[in-house]
Amino acid sequence: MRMFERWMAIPGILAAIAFAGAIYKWVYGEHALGTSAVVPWGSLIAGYAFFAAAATGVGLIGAVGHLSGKPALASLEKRSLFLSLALLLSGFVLIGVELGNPFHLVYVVISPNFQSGIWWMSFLYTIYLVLLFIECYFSQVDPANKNLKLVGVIAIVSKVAAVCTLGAIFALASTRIFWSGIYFPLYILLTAVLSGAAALILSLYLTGNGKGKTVDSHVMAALSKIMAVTIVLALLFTAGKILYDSRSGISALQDAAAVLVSGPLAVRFWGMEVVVGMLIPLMLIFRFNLTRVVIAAIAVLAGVFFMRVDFIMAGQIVPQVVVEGVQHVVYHSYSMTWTEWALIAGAFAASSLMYTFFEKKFNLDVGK
Amino acid sequence: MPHYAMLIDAARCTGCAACRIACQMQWQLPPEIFFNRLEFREQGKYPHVQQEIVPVQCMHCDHPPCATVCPTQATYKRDDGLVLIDESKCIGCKYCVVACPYDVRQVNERGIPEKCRFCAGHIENGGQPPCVTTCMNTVRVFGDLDDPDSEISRQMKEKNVYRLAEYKGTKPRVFYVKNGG
Repeated sequence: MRMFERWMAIPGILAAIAFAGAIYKWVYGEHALGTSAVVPWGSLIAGYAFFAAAATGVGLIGAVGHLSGKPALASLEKRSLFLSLALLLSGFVLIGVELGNPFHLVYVVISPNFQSGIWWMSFLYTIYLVLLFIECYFSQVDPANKNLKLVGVIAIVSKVAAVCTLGAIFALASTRIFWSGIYFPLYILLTAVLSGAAALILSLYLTGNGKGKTVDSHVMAALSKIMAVTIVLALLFTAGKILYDSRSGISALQDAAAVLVSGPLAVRFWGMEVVVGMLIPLMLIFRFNLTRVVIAAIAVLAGVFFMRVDFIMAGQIVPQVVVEGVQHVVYHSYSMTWTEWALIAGAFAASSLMYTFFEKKFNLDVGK
Repeated sequence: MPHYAMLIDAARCTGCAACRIACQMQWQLPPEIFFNRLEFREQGKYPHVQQEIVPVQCMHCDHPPCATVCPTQATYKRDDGLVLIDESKCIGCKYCVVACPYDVRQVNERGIPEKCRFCAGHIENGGQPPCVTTCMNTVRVFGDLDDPDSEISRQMKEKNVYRLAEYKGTKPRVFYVKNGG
């Protein structure tokens, strides 16, 4: 236990550095980020998409496990709620820092634009957050409440709708052709479940071991199966997208695909996204062993984070054709600043600190 | 109700950038923020090569994607054709910057993605935007397309015009005179 508490100093320090990053962003605004007029969305948007999608994935696994009654996943019911809450709050903090004027958010309510994807995503994730609070509350106060099943079903619908709308924000940005279409809403739903399973494995291992409890191998096996299936599907999705875009005959699509396959993002795409994020975890969980599964989960989380960054960057660094025949640069430049790294690391730290707090303060074991 | 538009004859542009500076003076912009820019393109093959300078700014589109995606209606289109920003409503999400097909938005020190305002507040009093009045070669003509006697209406009838990235379907209100048109 003491050893575990000492380990918690690491996320504590990271959260403090992230706080310094947030202050720096507050003072220097856009200058604190690597973004520009031609690459307006950077790693903080990717980070928000990562945390919001992972929160949704965790929630979906918990809710489906509970409703289906499968013993291995049903035991995750309460933990998935609280982990989902920790991840979602971290994501919201990240997007709050990214926004230029977060105090104007009240206008999302009093001056709504129903045509905007961001408006719908804000609406659905707010509903999701409220439902999460209700579910967390009742899981502690009155877990046998009959209405909880109905809340759970509504929560599943809101989770799927919220994460698909998050994908649709990109899909509906018609000027960024690489993001367009039905691909990303489906892909983000799929990889939300992938990152959700990985986050659950890691949190169960860390908090379980820390409390001296044995980690339930049935639960870990079920989660690693979910990871394996979603990795295979994600590989197929990625291969399909790259092949289609490369052979589409549309230059903007071909250029964006080339950015990932052989351009400036190639090392990260092949190294972090494909090898670390998908192939190594797949090989590790091929034979079940707790340590291998935990390493696979860490690799998946790293891979999915870079998956989000790469997707957002590939859609922006290929210059738009505004005036036919004019191209100043081959690619627009973007690199993450220390502020962005600090905030992303801080979001990971904040979610782990929050979840550890929940694990300590609340009873997250099912049936107690 | 007037319907404002701009006609740009790029063939007349010398690239002096007075339009950009006049605009920066009008709106008291810092040096790194500018609402109009010049794109240089080469046309033809050696030895018959010529350079064309194309001024680019907010197109005040009839179907502005920046207004469609704005979650708080901070970006809106007025009945007279101007696409403007209500700073008090902007949350700074930069979705409008991502959605703009012309790369004309720039985030200012207040976190607002700014752009050309067609000099709203100045033109209603009968004035012309400084980018128009400062140009020594009369590259830009600004006016009301609903007034058949306006200079822009007359020139639009006489000249062969096009719009940038027309295939995107945004229906810009900034028109360009075709080469030789």
